[in-house]
Amino acid sequence: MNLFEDYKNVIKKAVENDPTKSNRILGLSESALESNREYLKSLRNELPGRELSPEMKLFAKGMGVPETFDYQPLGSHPDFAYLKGTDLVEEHWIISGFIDVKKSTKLFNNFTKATVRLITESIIRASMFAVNLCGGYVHRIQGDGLMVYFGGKNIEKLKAVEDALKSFSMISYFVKNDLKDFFEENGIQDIHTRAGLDLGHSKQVDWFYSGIGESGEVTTCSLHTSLAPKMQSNAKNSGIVVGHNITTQLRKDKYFEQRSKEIHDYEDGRKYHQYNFDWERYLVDNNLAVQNDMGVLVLTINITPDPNRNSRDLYPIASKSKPYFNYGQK
Amino acid sequence: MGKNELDKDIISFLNNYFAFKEVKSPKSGYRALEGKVSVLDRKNKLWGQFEILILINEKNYPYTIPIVIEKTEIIKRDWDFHISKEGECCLDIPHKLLKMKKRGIVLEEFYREVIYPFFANYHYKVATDKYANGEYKHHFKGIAQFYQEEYGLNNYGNIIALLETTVSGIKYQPNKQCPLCGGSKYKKCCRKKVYSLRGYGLDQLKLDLALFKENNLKTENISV
Ligand SMILES: [Zn+2]
Ligand SMILES: [Zn+2]
Repeated sequence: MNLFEDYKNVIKKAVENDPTKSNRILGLSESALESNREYLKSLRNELPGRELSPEMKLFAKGMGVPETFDYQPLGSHPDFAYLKGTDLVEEHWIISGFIDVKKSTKLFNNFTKATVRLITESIIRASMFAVNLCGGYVHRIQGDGLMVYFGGKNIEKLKAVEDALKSFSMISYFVKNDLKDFFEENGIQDIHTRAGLDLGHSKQVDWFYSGIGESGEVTTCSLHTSLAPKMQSNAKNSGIVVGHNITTQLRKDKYFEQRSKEIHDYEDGRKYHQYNFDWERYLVDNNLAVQNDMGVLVLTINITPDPNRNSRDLYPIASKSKPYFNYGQK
Repeated sequence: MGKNELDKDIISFLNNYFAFKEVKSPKSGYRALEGKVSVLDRKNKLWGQFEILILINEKNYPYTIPIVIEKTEIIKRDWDFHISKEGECCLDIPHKLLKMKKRGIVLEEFYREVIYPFFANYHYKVATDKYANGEYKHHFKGIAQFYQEEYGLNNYGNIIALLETTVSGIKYQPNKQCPLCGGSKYKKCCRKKVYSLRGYGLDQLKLDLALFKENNLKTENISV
C-alpha cells in the first residue's frame, strides 16, 4: 500500500481505458468519446474524498491529524478571514508556496482531453491532500498547480516551515516516484513538478482584502509571496527551491544548496538568496520515507513489516547472499 | 591513494543512502558509517529495519572487505544466523570476499550487492526457514562445499594436489597430460583451476590446504 495509491490507480485506469490509441487509424467516433466521458465520470468517484484510505489514515495519525479531515475552503486563510470586506491590514508572518506539474503537451496527442483532465485533477487532488495533511491552506488552484499558505496564528514558525517542506516533498515524491515511471511506460516523457517556497516574517507581510464587495479575496502583499513563484520557475525538474528565510529557520545546511544567482537584489548592496532543497534526504531523515537497495525512495510512515509481503519478491535480492559461519574456530 | 578514493566513495555513498552518516570509528585506522538498512523487496514492501555500523579500512581501501556490525540485535546471536556474539556479520565465504578484496571494491556496490542482500536474506530465512540461495555449512564442511560447488571437486586428494600446485607455484607442461587428475592436456584441464584459485591469495589457500590434509587423514582413518 502506498499513500497516493488511490490517486495513482485512477490515473492508471484513465490511461489504460483511453480510446485514442486503439482508434488511431480510424479516428475517434463521437460514440467512443461519449462512452469514454461516461467511464471517466464514474472513475472520478474513485478519487479519495474526505474518507481516507487505511494508508492515508496511518499517515494522518503519524502526523497528528484527525482521520477524517475537512479540506479547508479555498481563498481565505481562516486566521485572516475576518479581513474580508474590510480595509483593515494585519502584519503577520506566512510561508507562501507554489507547486505545479509540468506536463508535456504530448499528453493531448496520446489521450482524450477528458483523460488529460482527470489526470490533472487526480494530481491536484493528491497535492491538496498532502497540503491539508501537513496543516497547509490551499489558497488557489491555478492551471496544473497550487498556491498554498503554511502558518497562522496558532502555530510556531519552525513547525510551519517543517510542515511546508514535508508537504511539498511528498507531492514531489508522488509525481517523481509513483507517476513518472508509469507515464514513461506509456510513452509520455518528462512529467515533473517544480516548486518554490518562501517565508515572510511579520514585518514583511501585509494581510488585506483585495477586491470589491463580494468579488475579492483575503491575500498577502509581500516580497516573499512574490518571490515564491519566481523560485518555482527556477527549480530543476522535480526540484523545490526555497528562500533564505526558510533556511535560517531550519538551520540544517545539509538540505540546502545555495544557487549561484540570487533571487532578489535589494539594490542597497544586500542580496536575497535561493537554495535547492534536498527533499529526498529530508523525507528519509524525518522518517517519512525509506530507501531500497538501489537507494530509491519509498514513502512510508510505518516501519512495521508489510502484512502483504511475499518472499518471492524478496528472493531476487536475498539470493545474492550465501552466508558462511566460522567464528570461534580458526 | 586509498584515502582520497575512500573519501570520494564515502561522499558518494552518503549522497545516495540518506539513512547513513559518518561517525567516529571505534577502531583505529578505520572509517565508520552508521545507519539504517530498510529491507524492501522488489515490490517495495517493507520487511524490517536494522541499525548497522560499517567499518572500512582506510589504508587498504579499495582492497579491503568492510566489517559490518548489526547493532539492533534483531538477529539472534546464533551461528545459524551467521553472526558473532559482537554482532559482526559473516557476509559470505572468505574465498569470495578475498576475490572481491583482490579486485578492489566500490563502497556503494558492496552495500548493494553484499551488505543489503545479507539482511534481506535474514528475513527470507525467517519467513521460509531457509536462505534464498542455500548456505555454506559451518567451518571446514563449508569450505569443502565451496570447492565442490565452485570447481566440481569432491575428492580431497584431488583438491590437495591442486592446492599444493597453486601454493608452490610449480609449472607443468601445458600440452602434456594433466599431472593432477590425468586429463588430456594440462592447459585445458586443471591449469584453469590453478589460475582461478590464485585469486583467493596464498594465505587462504595455505589454510585450506592444511584443513583438507587434516580432514583427509580423518576420513582415511575412518574408512580403514
Ligand atoms: Zn549456517
Ligand atoms: Zn586436471
